Amino acid sequence: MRHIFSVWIFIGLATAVWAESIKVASLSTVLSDIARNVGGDRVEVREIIKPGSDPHLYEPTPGDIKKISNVQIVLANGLGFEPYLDKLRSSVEKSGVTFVVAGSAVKPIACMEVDHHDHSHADNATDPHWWHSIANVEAVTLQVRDAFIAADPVGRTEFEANAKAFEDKLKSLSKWVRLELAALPKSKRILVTSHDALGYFAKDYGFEILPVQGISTSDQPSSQKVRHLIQEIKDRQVKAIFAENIENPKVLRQITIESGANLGGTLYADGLGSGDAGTYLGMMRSNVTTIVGALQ
Amino acid sequence: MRLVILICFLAIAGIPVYLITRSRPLLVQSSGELPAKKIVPYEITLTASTPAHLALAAVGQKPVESSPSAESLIATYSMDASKPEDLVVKARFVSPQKNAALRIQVQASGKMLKDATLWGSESIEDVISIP
Repeated sequence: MRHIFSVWIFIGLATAVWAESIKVASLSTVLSDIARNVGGDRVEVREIIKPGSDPHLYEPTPGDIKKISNVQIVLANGLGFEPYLDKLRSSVEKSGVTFVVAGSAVKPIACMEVDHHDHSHADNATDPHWWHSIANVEAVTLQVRDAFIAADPVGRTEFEANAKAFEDKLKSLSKWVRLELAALPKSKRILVTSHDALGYFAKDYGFEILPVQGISTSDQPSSQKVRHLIQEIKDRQVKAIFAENIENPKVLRQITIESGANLGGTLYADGLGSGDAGTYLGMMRSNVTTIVGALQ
Repeated sequence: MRLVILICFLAIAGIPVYLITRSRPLLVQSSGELPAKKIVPYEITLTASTPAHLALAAVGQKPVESSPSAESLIATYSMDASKPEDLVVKARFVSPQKNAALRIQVQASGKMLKDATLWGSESIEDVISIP
């Protein structure tokens, strides 16, 4: 009896060791987090875009293309967020890599600013920052789950259970966000941001966005636009403005000094950060806490 | 006569030049002018499937609770019709059970604006947005 038991343990361990995990390359920090949550131990995620890095400045290097050629699945945002996506797809096509593009699973919304700085809006000014809507993240979780099941049908039960657990966490997060924001009067739901990236969040929770175009790029906003923005901040008594990445502190300083608004803190607009904001749940909690704390 | 004709000609020719070159106020994109507030009474009714401690709150409004427990709670909040605040609703059921429900109805000017049902067991807490 003892021998049979030992043989079973040996077979179990051997299967676990030899079971090949799905190799996934991710072009988004948010998608990396979703992949880890859904895939668990059955998936090895290779982060091409790392937390805290600027995805707009990224261009695939030959090394990255080699890395991507060796995976089974590539996770991408789509909606024009990765201007290099078509090129990348054609260069690794022969390797049999499957591309899972989140943009095809979500309900896209239009961008506020048509000539939105450094994103390439190939899809005619579609806002590519889909992950700021929790409902979209739920949809993409199911999309990723299905892609993993297709690549590793043996892992179906595990992927389904993991996806369900992550969905439950997203539902709790959604309720938490609603309860936190209920304390913020509708008249104060104005986000002056350096970057027009929170359109999905604004749509879900009744915010109005006043982006400072050009403040996070080399493009300078015109002095007339800055003047109008300062006047609007004053007229509407906006308490705080938010920076995503202070690349142009001079303009931000000018706006805060002249409008009387405070710097409300940093919002994670283009992906995950580090520490508590290193996961999707943490990033959303951080953004909501920053917004409510600054505008209340 | 020639002088009159010349003046008339210059006046007629000058009109389009004036229209094109006159200084106009700049178009301001901002929505600096805010619409006037229209305060409307919203009648909110919470109905629980079994007796519960019911509570209702909204930013800028006085919180209302049933004490100690009840099957329904009615309150009227006066809010800006263009931006009514979100309602925080809570129900803590006296006898926890599966599929306990809390119905939330919001009416204004005799029109039903929201009719939603939330489900839970021991307690329910959520936010209801008024369209």
